[in-house]
Amino acid sequence: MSPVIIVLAAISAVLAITMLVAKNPITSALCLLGVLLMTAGIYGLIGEHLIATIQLVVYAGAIMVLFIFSIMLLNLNKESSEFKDKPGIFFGAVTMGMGVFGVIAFALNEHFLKHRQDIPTGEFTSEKVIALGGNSKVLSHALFSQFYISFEVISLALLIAIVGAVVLAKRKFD
Amino acid sequence: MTNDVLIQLLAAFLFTVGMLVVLLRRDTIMVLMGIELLLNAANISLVAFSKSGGMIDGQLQVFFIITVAAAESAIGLSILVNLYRNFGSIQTQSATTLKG
Amino acid sequence: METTYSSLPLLILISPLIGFFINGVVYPLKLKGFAKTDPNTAGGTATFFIGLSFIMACIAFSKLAGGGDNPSLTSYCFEWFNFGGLNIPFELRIDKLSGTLVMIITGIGTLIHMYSTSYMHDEECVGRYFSYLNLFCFNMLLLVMGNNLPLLFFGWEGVGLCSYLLIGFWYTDTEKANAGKKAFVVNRVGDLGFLVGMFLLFRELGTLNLPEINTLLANPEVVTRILPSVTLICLSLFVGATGKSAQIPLYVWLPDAMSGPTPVSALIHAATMVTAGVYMIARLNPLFELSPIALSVIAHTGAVTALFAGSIAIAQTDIKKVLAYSTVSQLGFMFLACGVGAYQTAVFHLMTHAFFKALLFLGSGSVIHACSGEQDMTKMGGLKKYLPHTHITMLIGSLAISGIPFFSGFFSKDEILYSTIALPNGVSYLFIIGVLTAMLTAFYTGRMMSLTFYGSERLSHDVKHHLHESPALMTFPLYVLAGLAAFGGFLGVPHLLGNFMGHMPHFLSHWLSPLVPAKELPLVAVKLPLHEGVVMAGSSVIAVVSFFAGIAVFKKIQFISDAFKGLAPLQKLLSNKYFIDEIYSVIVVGPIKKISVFSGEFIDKYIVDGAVNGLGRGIRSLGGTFRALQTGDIQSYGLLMLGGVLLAVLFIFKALV
Repeated sequence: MSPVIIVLAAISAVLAITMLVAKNPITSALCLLGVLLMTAGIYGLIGEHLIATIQLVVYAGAIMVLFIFSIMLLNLNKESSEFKDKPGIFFGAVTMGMGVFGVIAFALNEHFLKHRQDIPTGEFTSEKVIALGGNSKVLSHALFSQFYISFEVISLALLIAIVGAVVLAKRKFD
Repeated sequence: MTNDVLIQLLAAFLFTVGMLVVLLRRDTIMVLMGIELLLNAANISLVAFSKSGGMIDGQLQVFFIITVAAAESAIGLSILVNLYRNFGSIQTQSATTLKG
Repeated sequence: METTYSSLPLLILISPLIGFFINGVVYPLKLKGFAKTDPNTAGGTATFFIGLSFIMACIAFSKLAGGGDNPSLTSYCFEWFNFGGLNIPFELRIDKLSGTLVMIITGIGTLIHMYSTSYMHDEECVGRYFSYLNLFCFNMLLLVMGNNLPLLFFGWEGVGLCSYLLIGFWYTDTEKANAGKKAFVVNRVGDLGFLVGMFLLFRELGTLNLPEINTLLANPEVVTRILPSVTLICLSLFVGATGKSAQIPLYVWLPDAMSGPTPVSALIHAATMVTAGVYMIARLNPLFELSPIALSVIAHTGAVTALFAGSIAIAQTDIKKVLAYSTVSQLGFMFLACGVGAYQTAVFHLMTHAFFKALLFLGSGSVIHACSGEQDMTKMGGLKKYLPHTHITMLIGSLAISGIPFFSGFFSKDEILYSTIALPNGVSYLFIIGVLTAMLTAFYTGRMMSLTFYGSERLSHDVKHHLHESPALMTFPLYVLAGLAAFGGFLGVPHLLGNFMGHMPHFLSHWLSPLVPAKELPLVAVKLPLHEGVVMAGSSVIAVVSFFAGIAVFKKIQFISDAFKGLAPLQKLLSNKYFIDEIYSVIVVGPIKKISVFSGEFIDKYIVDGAVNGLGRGIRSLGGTFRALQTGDIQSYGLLMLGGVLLAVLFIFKALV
């Protein structure tokens, strides 16, 4: 267990909690940014270089910037903490969340302890990937050869999203 | 506890926190940020499982998920702008026309 | 027992029903209203159909007469009930007993329809009246021809209904409507007893078919099985009979029933409906024979009722009320005969009573018609010279009812009186009560004749001005009935006299024999050592003396208290009918009214409405609770969904039950 991963995981956990309870939306946005950065780091540490790069460029670099722009555009103030009025709902939801976490952890436990050996290991082990030219090369090769249709479709989806965003946000000239 | 297990647990935790953000925060933009966190947690889980299983399918899927997340957040923000125009504020309590 | 399947019984039954439909449905539809039917058309139609029934009844009678020992004509119409071991087909049967009654019903019915056509000529809604009369005849025929107890009960209820409809014919008058209501309600009380009796009988015997019941009861094993409960069955059935045939305690409706038109009183309350109880007992005589206690109760009730009603009749002023109490008294005689085991005599008296009572009622109707609606005898008198036909026929009827020798009443009443001491079931004090009642009967009948026809004229000026004899359509039935009342008794001449008159047999006894057994009446009695001839002579003397005393005494006075001043309190008691109605009102009607009020105001309003409304309110509040969940806020929806999904997942993974 690599200590760096433990540190990164811990920081991202703390940042996530801060994001939940922060009053200022800018604070929440920055915490989210931090979580995404830590995630990119984790990706890099386990050898997913392409994914880490994409995470940094797209997720942290574009989406979060968009969010921060929107927050500043809407001129949001500090919201009042409504958890003070209804602590019951807050704690109830937190309990349910812990329940969800417990269920997932339990399922993970079942998988790792009992069923891990039933799943055959695929062919792309770390050595093989390095032998083939590295993670980026392998993934890009697969993307443009085996999954090319999905690639084209996803670019089409992005186009539609652009058009849709513009249409939805346009001021109606009556 | 190996790396794999730790990363899976991290993914689970981030998923939970993201879910709570969606359900408990009162500004719509916070809800959208929570959705991003949820997607991110799913990504982590996918990547770790595919890496430890020696397959690349999960990693490629993450590529597409990130793209979709970007598109969806753009649309979500335009909806947010419309919401603000219609109801005057972005608090979720103000959009309760379905109240029965 | 030979059964011939024929459609005659069905035709006899259907004919008045068709008349009912034509008068009740077709004419009003065509003419758009009940009031518009011409009285002659309505009356003619009704008389035609019942006359048709009479002709067919005569044909049936002649067919039976040609038959053997116990012939019958049966009509099987359709299967009415058949499940769970209960098999009730719609079957009609004319055998010797029901044949006799069918003749009486249709014959006297035809005469009364004829009479009504003229009597109700000036009334409104005559079409309705005739439709009810035909419906009554249908129900009565169903009662006597029904081959099983439920059909008999159908007819039983039906005649009760028609009685209500006809008594309350002038329903705009509250008193008359109340009289109809009283008749129906009191009848229903009796019917409960009849129903209980039917249920118990079915439970014991498993069948309600009348011939089957009688054959089953001939089997000794069945008899021993049924013996413990037979008294209860017989008493329950008798309760029904007290209601329908106006005995104590359920006779109170009959005097009030005089509010209806007089032909109705003649048909229903003299000749036919009130005899239903006697018919039922005569029909089920094997059953009643098994229970000496029940027979004793019947005999005593009959005797007491006879005396009781006879005493009230002496003090009445309304001519129809005298005849009503007279009917109750004569019915008491019939039940007395049944109670001592002389069923044939009861049927004989039923027949003769039908003749002379119908005659007396129709005659009184003629008098009332002549006096322009006046019914109070104290305001009549000396009508003999104005109403000759009515007078002569009513005189014959009075002689018959009093038991003057060789008129019909003499033979039947005499046989009853002798049975009370001759038969083993008879008791000597019943004989004394019977004799006293016979004396009273003659006395009050004489009084009635005297106050109405003889003596000084007490008519008001207007009435005297309009006095006229009735038209031919009314007097013709009177003469026919007078002939029957005078000579009808010769159908049942006892052996003692028959031997003198050229060996004339007792026709009715031979006719009814297999069905209604003839009890051996010895010439010398069992209980009192009297020869039958002595009884006959004695009763004749008493009857003649009482009747003429009645006429003579009341030529000058009107009430018995006028003769002896000391009898004034008795007169008051009798004329107020022993205050029975008032007693019933306090004991029975009052508490029922209180219970009704309590139920209506408390139970209905608070408990029933409270439950129903409470249910509504509860559901509404439950709905309100659920409505609070629809906040419109999607995040609360999301939290609820999360909770639900978590529970579902835990359930699937069996962490939760």
